[in-house]
Amino acid sequence: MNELSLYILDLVQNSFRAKAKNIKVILNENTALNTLSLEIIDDGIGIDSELLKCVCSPFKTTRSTRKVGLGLSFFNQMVKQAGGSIIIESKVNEFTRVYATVERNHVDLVPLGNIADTLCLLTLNSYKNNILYVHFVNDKKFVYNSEKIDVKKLESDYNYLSAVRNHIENKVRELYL
Amino acid sequence: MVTTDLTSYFKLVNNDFTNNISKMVVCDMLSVALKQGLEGDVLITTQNNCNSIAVATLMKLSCVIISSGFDVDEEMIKHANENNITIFTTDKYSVDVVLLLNKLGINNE
Repeated sequence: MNELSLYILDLVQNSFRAKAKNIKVILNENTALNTLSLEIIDDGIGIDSELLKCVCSPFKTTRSTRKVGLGLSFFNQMVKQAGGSIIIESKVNEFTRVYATVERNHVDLVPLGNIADTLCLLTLNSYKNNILYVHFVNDKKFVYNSEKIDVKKLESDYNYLSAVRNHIENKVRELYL
Repeated sequence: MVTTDLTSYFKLVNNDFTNNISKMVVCDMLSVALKQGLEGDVLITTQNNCNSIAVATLMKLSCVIISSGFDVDEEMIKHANENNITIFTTDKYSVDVVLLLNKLGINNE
């Protein structure tokens, strides 16, 4: 997992599995403070307090097919090696919130990667969910709301998919100008 | 070759399970190691955390060598013992571990 986008993909898929309806992804970059934070909040089934204590351990998983779960474990490791910390809060049947902050210019921080493809892919799988992606770079802001996307059309119309993808790519690029 | 043969070259930190060693995987990005390795391989990495043991468990690796002088904590040892993974540590850098293992007869051909 050498892109932040891949971690976002993985964490939002966790939210899908947790039957979340609304998933918020907030990426906040601040060059003056040299911080990058990633926050994912969903309104899914949540994590009980017992599992929450050790949710980043790879030997704790809700999977029944195998005894190892690597999603949050890898994310936790990446955050730590980029000089950061992670908070996971949850209330059963209410919400789950994953919040991580890292040093933005840390040499071991993975790059953002292909966020446009990631958001399109997540939108294609979001018939029952609404994904809100908010990306700040200092005082600039980009908002992507999957509610405004026609998922059926995204699936069948390549030109529409290209347009959505290009729109995200351009808007994210503009954040850094 | 079995893991016991490596005890005179690297520091054994948990139980030795005398696992058969086939090839080598050298990677610090565990998600990449996961794609690369096969059952029986030795993983050489600087990642001294439980994720290395989780990956080794999932892939049924023979052992993990933590290179570059990094320490191993109790939690890693506990999970390694539960999952029959032998752990070694060494002050050598990963590249020198590979060269030594190759001299000892492990190659990836």
